[in-house]
Amino acid sequence: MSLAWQFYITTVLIYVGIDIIACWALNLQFGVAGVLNFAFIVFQAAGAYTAAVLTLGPATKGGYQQYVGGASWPFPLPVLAAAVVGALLALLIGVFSLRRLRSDYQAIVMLVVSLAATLLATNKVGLVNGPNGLSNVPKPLSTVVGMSPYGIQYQWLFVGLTAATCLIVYWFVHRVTSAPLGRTLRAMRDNEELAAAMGKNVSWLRLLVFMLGGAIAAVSGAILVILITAWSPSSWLFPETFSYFAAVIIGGSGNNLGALLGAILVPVGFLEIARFVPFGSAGFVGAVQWIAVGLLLLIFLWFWPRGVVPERRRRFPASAATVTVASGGIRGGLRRSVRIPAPRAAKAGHDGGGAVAD
Amino acid sequence: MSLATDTNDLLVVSGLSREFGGVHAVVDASFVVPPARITGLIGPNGAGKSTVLSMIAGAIRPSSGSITFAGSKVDQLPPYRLARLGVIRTFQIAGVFDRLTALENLLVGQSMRGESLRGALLGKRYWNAEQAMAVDRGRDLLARFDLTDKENEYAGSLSGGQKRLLEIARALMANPKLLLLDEPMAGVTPSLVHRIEEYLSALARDGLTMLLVEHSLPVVERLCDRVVVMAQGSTISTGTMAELRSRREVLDAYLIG
Repeated sequence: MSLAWQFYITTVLIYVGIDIIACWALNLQFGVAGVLNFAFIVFQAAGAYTAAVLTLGPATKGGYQQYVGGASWPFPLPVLAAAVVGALLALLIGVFSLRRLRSDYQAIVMLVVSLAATLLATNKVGLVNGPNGLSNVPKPLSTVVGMSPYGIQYQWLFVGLTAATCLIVYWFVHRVTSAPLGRTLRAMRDNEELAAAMGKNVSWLRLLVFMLGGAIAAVSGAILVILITAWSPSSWLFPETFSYFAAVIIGGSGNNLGALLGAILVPVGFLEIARFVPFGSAGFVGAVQWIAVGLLLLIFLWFWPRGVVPERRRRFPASAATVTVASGGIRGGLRRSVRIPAPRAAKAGHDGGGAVAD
Repeated sequence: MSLATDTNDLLVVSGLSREFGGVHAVVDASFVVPPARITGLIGPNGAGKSTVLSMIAGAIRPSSGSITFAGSKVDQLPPYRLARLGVIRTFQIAGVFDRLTALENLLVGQSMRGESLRGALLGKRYWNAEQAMAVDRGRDLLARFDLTDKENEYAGSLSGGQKRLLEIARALMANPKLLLLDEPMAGVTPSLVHRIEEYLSALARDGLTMLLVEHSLPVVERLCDRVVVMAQGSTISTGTMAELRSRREVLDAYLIG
């Protein structure tokens, strides 16, 4: 494989990873918990800015870029810091906009937040260098591993790092969605008033998924800025949010596998394929991409509203009588849960007693 | 009406009022709900019965007055806190979680350790045993309400009557101390009305306290030995159905509105 193709493929793979992480975050908020976050892209942007300023080093007075909070933290601290900033930003926005507003009004508020954030980042130049944005963000680890940050080996290392981040994020979202917490969130999505009447603190749950999704979205932004080494307000205009919504809906909202597939199909596959359209003037491909995403979304909402991989139906094994032995079990902690078959446990083949679900 | 309250009363509603932008939906409503019985709440359309129920459940804040449940004032608590205290309601239009299966709907009724972020992240080993017990309990309840074959059906695809039964089953899953039933017989076939009646009287015999808002007076007569009448936002009378029939103010309320 030629070097050029390797560069192309590694770049696409990293984009796939970033979009998968973002789609999992949006799926947690929208697909699982039903929170319409039309400011989603703001959290990705916040993560990107955080990671960028924490690797760029302190801004020099009178230098070509002005920003606050510059530092030279080693990898992966800027990514972790991005997650924290994403969660805190979600807390800040969530506290005033999620509490007393109905979901459709919440969605409008989020859209306004997205527009206001773009205006703020553009016009408050000292914050994140205004419309020019940040550039020349150093690539992490290149000195540690002794690779040129522009070589193909470094690209493959980056693919590995992105894949590892994907695994960690998957572990996290899977734990949340497969636990009773996931069921509670889906109940809230289906009927918020009813969930509250069943003892669920819906204000807190909404804020919780808003913060978790915000943190994960910020991680995707941090990896993105490491890849492209630059970040400006034009990278995160509000329509980008809808590209992710399209991905989650087309892939299958409420299903982590669906969100993964959606991330491959829409932001990456679809937009990359359109790149190969061999005709048209400048800007033509970009316009076609947005039209195509919109059309595809309409087609899916009309014919397959549950997406390519619909949310899975949670079934429970025939009898689920499982007893957990106190921690520090006698048998060296190999398996701490012991199944006690109940009389009805005729059908074997299920693992444990939990929901068989993603 | 007299406000002689018994300290044994599970619920004491006193001087409860609520207005919506100048409209007085509930005006000075006062009544008590004694334990282990079904208390009926009747009245013509627009009398404020559902609003009172919503205020007891915490979904609507009273403009004035007080609600005391099991000896403590609860009128400023949000719905989820009341539910955790054991005040569980059903809705006028049967409320189910459409995209959850029937069994999952029941599981939502029980609070579990895996519902916190920490619990979820600790993984299946942390919450599985408790959930497995809840699954067994949920199946028992489904069997009790003849819904066993609907276990894996999405609740949204059930019939109106089945949703109603599922809603009651889910309420029981939450171990209620006080069950608020808002027209549980509405939109239900006559044969099912009979079954629901049997379920409710069995629950009362088991010691569950219920407050029943219901339009069908024969149903109220069969289930409730104590009935509160509301008209134009106020409680106007209390007694057995037989007593109420002879009272002038009750007849006026029903005939004149």
